[in-house]
Amino acid sequence: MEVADTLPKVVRRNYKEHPDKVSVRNKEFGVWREYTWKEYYEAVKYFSLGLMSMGFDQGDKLSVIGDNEPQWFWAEIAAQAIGGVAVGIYVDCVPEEVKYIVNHSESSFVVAKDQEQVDKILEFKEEAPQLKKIIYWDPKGLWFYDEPLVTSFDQVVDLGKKYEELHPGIFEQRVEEGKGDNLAVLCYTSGTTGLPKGVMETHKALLATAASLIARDPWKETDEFLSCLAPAWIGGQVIDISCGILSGAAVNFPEEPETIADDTRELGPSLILYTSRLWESLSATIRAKMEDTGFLKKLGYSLCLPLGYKRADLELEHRSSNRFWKALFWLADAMILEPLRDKVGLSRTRYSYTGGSMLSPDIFRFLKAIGVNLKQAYGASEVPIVTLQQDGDIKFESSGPPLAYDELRISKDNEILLTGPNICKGYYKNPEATKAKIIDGWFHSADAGYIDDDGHLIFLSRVADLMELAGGEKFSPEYIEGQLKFSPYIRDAIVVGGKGRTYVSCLVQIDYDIVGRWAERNHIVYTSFTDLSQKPQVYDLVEKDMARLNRRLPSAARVKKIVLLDKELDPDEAELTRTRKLRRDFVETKYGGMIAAIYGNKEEFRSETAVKYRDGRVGKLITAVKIATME
Amino acid sequence: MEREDRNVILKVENLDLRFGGVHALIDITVDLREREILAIIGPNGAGKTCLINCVSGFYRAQKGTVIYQGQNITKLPAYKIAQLGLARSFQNLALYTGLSTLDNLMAGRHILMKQNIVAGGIYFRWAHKEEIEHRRRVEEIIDFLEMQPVRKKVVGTLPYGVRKRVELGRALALEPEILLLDEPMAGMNVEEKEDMARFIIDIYELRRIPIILIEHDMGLVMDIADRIYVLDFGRKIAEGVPSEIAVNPQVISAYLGTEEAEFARKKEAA
Repeated sequence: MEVADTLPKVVRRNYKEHPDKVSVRNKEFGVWREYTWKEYYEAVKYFSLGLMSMGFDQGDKLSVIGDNEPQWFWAEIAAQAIGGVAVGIYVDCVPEEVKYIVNHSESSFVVAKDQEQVDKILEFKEEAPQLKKIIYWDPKGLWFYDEPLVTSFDQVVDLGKKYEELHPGIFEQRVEEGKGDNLAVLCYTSGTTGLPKGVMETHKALLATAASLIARDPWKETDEFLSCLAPAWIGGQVIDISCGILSGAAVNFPEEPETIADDTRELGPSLILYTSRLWESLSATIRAKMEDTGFLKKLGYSLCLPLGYKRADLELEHRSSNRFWKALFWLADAMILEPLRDKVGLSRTRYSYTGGSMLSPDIFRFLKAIGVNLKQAYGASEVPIVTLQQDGDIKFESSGPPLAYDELRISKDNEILLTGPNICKGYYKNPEATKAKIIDGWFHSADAGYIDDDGHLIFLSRVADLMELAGGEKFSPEYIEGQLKFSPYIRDAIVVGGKGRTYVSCLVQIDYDIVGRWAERNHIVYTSFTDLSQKPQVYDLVEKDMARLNRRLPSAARVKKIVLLDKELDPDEAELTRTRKLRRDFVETKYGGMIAAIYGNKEEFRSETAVKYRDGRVGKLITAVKIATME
Repeated sequence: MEREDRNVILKVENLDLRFGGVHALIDITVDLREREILAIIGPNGAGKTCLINCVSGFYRAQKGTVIYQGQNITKLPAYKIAQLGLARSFQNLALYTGLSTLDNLMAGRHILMKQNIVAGGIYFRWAHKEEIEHRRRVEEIIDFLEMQPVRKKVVGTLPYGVRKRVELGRALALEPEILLLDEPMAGMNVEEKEDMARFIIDIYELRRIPIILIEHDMGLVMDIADRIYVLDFGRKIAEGVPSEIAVNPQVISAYLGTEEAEFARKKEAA
């Protein structure tokens, strides 16, 4: 059998083996339009020839920016077929960022979805002299553009057809010349520190990662995968593109990013990769809808969900259940949980993955409880997907054991070091950064974690965010916060401690709804969030629950003092990001007085908070906030 | 091409409309030519919507004529005017709130459907075929106006800004030759307004149909309109291209009050 060591060669293999099987499915005008492997191959071929006719050659770069649609994938494979490199750009990048990536990668061609993206590139065309063409695939709004730089996807395909008549066999020859060690993709890292860096991924690395993922979770040709993660991100490259092509499964594209939920329901995919944000919004939707449903359904849900939780917990603890429980679980599944999964389109899903950031443990547990086989993975752009949770051996705090070939070790500073056949070739045009991050063949991830007794990797946080505890050992505040959020009464927690502080304390934002309801049931009268948060009974409630959670933590990491914040953390005040992630440095500075009071052994702190209203006015809130000491 | 050389599509002559003692429109003469976006502006109660209502057959003017492509449509009923290719949207929305976006748009195509109730009810092959054809057009409009996420949502549950878009979509579903838009951007936030303005420009670019637009937001009107017609208390007070209207003292006084206009004039003089 011929070796398929590049992505275009795997596409050719699929075309030869199953020309009439569905390769991708795209929703257009409300209808799922299917493309067979033959159509896929031909689109790649003629687009590729069209690029060649316009001067695209080996080693050239082609940037792609747009939503997940077949043309995105075709453009990438077409460039790779010539021996070129694809560069993914996120759709929401501003023109400045797009310009940086296009120029840094020296892209001579850009494939952009629509008017919005084309306009971004036209904005800086004078500063990108290497640009030869901008190719769009959605013509809306672009009908009357009088700009020689801009052309359409279909026009390029037509050029390709003409080019083939003059140069028959050239495409096949170019595909044949491709080698596994050639660069396939530049993945620009999001660049939280400094400018984005282009990670150089080879065909070999992408295919090796995909192969080992498929070895752990067998993907079949009959599988239906829903693609909604940006292929500009390494996860999208590995799972959506490489695994999709390698396994031959059908890849489906949602109509619009906003219709993902509806499209999932229509499609009932057997494989799915959602971002943690999407999983969060899915579980929030289920919970909200169950609140609004009728009496009978609500009753069934409230009876069956605890059973689901019990089943999930047993599974997570690797304990088997007796027949009585098994029968009850079966009943709960048949009555409520399976129809519930069906409503959100997950009833046929065999494997679901989460990507992006860590999923919060309670959401992970909830999804497990309703029967979603959700898996977390750990990886980096530089060494894509290193660990993946394994069926029947799942713990929710872990990212699973390493995939077959990957090598993983923890440095003495708790840093996760990675290597393996899928390690990248370094950063594009940035040897200093390459030298700093990849030392003796090991990639230094700057992530902190540890490997537990069963060989699972547990990710804690970034090394820089680690906190030194009294005993000199290091721990992650995020991990403690994650554990504390298991309390239903705690909405947000900010753990402080570290050097010079002898114990850990915590600023808590109570969950207004849940604590409010609890207060009503217990006849505690309150007027506002501020008032409720400072009730002694509420302090007692939170302290008691926190004592329970404290026991799960190593003794040095246990929370000693707590303060219930008198106002909610708010993205409008820059305390949280728009995605509700804590902005730790900012919050610690803002609440500096309060933190000083905690460690100054005060019992009360007069908090003065400036409150910014939506219309821009600034008000002041003065409260005496109590500092409680845990027993 | 100069404006004078372009064909007149719609001509309103000496229109007069009264409700009892209220003189809503006084001797209005205005014309709309090929390939132009005409904005009608004016303070509240100036008679902007009355003018559109007279053109689309919802009101009967006591005097004056409305000529559409050489045909006098002054006395025609509203549905006949719609069949001639004049589509309008309503300021206060007139959608079927219990139906989905899709069904609202399909309803907009009703006047273009050829099959009768029997054929449609039994769903003969030809009725089926016709329905598919209409559905295709409606899906194109949904795509055009980016309404995919609300395709099957009941209109009554949609936010106001989106309903306005559905309203525009339904007007488009009529395959109009003139589009009359009554405050398509009223009550929207800045982002929604910009989206709507982009849609209007896209419609105009793609279909090359003339558009009459009633709008309050002066900034937007100045950006997208080719000509502006200003009404105040039922009378025309100015007409011209945006740059002329922006400095017209009568328009400033109608919009900002006389004192402000005086102030603006003094400032300019200084």
